[in-house]
Amino acid sequence: MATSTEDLLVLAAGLIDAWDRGGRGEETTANEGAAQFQGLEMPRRPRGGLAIGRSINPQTRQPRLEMRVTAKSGPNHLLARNLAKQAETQGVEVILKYLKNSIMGAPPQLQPVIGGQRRPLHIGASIANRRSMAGTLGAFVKLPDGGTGVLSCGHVLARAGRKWAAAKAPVHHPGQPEENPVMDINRIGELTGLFAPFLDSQTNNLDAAVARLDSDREHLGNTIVDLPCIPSGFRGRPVGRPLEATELEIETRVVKLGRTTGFTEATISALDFQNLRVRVGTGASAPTFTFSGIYEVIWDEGAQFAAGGDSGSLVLTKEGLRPVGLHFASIEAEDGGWISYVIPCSTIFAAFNVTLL
Amino acid sequence: MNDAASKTAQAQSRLKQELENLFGPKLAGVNGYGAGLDRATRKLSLQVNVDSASSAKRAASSLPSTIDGLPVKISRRGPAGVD
Repeated sequence: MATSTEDLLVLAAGLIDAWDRGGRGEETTANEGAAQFQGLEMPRRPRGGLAIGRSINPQTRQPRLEMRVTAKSGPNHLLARNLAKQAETQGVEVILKYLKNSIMGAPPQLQPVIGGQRRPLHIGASIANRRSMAGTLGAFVKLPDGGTGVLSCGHVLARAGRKWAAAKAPVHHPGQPEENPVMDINRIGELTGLFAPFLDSQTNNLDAAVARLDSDREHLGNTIVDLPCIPSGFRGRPVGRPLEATELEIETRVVKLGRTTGFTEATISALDFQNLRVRVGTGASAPTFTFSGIYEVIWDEGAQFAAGGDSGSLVLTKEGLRPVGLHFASIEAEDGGWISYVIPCSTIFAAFNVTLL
Repeated sequence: MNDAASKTAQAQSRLKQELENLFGPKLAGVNGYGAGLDRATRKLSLQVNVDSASSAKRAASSLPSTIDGLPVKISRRGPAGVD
């Protein structure tokens, strides 16, 4: 019986390993790869549509096996059912769910902490390309021609479904799914040319974009809004001067204000993370791109730092509220904890020639 | 850059060389690397994320256990997901 998260890690790794070997036509048995599943007949590696992971049962605090399949029939469904049945006979709790084309990625959650229409606009509000899903308004910036822009992630403002949008594409507040139906009255601006479509050939893709704010849209500027979800000591405080890359240190406490999880905090754990592969979009077939020179953030034990819809959130030092960068991606670590990644402000401002308002 | 940061950057640079030797110049199979806090111990280490392919696992097993005094921690992780 798998009795700890470590046991389940070994078990899941063994399953994947055995699938890998099975996929190349080598003989394999369950006992080679996953000793906890004694007697299990290991099938060939699925071609996709089946994911395996683990979690903790919140009541019993025991680790459990999580499986996701994309169809209620077919070989992956049969495989998952078989694995679940045999795991349960070994005393391992199994959660099997059906997710249509959403094995990976993090679609925005429908009930955000900071949702709905926000007038005047403020950092942390929901924002999106009209044809995309909601992210977070990170900051208000001064454009090279003196106009006012809003800064968020490239995949929030400049992705139109699975393709890249063109300059002048409308940007809405709030974004989908809380913008339902999508109406032109929710337009707050238009995409500028300040974004960088992700390329396979690049290892340092830039997930940031700027939209020009329509002149009739009122906003609070780069100030922490006064909302009940924000600790009182931070409400109404202006954002400080952006941090230079050389000023940030490991173990710096940071905060962010995001559309989905609101005001949260965590710790900077790495300053120059390289070659991070990130899946953009949902579904196992969604493309991955490489990002380098980014910051890594480790979440506090049991405290969520970010979720789907928080992309674009401005990450700030807790002390002094100095901008560090834009939150854009997260991944679960082996021990069940989570890690997030941040595009440095210094990189964005240098690439786009913009400054904070 | 202070002395500690300079040494960390140097260790990361050496790690990059080791990874390029083992995984090739495109670092195929490496899903991220860098000097950072180990989640469990909260001590500085060189983190390497490799994908679940057996070839990547084998290549990663040839990495030294320490580089310039920093422990090398290998994790099997797939791509991160955008939020």
